[in-house]
Amino acid sequence: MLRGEAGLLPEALPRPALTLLPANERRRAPDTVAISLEVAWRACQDAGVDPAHLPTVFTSTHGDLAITDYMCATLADSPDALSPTKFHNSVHNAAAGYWSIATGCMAPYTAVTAWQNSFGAGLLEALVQVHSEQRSVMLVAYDIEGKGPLASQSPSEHLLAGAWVFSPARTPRTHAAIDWEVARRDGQEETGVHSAAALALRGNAMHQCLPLLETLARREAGPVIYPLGVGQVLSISNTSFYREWIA
Amino acid sequence: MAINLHGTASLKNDEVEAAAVADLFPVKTFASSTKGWTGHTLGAAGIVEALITLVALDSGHLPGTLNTDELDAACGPQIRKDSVETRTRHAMSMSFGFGGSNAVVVFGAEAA
Repeated sequence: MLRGEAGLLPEALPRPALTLLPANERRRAPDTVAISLEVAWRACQDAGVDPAHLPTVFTSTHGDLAITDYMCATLADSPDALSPTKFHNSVHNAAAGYWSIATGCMAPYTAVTAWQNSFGAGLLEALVQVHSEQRSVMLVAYDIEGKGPLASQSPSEHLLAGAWVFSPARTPRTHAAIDWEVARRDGQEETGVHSAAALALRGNAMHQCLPLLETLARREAGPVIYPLGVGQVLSISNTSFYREWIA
Repeated sequence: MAINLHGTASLKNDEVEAAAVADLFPVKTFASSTKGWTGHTLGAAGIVEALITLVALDSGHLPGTLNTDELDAACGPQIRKDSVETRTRHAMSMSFGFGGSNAVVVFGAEAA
């Protein structure tokens, strides 16, 4: 689909079953947790790595918009009725926390945001960790749809999540090798998308993950350009392609 | 030694933290949570409290636990409600995150 060779799915996929979590946690887990844990699990399976020893970087533009809307509405109307579970799940690192509980992972994790540059910021954090620590790091990026009045200030549509395992050296499971650099922003435009699948998801606040996915799927060199805020960009080039993705 | 606790005022956190402090530190240790003064700044709480800890070490003003009237049974004599003026050689800040993302830093007034 991201190669542009197939159209959209005829109907929406169901929410992930989230078998990773115990039954009671599974029911209570919000959509942010459901989609991010699902892609994180699949990325680990694909990369053949044990999640219990893998450092992670979680990035999200808005965190859990549905819970933030609930918190705002409840604090305005009946603050005493605020659900402790919802409060617990409202923190920006909730998905990362559930992941570490589900996998028993003791490796470091962090949860970042940088408004419209959240994907680039998370990607840079993960790549810097891979380079400086010389160990594999997983990046998990996600955003859900906006709810209530908040949706006018923090617009986001659909559910979107992606996960990548980056390693300091090629492994038998590696799909592609990348080069990256932080450069002065000098007229480079943020990379766009082409496939119907990616275009359909452009309304999601984490849509910035799509160009990287698309160039990898299409086996294009790039570079993919991510603005990092004032005056800088993160530039990602796919230098070699190895293992094919399973369709 | 002064300790800036995670001290979120959630029952389980405070119970576990108070028990750990009571087990590990002498009774003269000054332990307080400054979240009563600042609120829980969530993702910023670690750095905010680390800075408060540095100011306490530098100034000798150890802030108490604002808006705490009655201590829970789990609290040892280390947990203080009132602020004091006293010099301390070491100060520690503890921050705990969802899923066990925990960090404790110890600052010294002079190089060790």
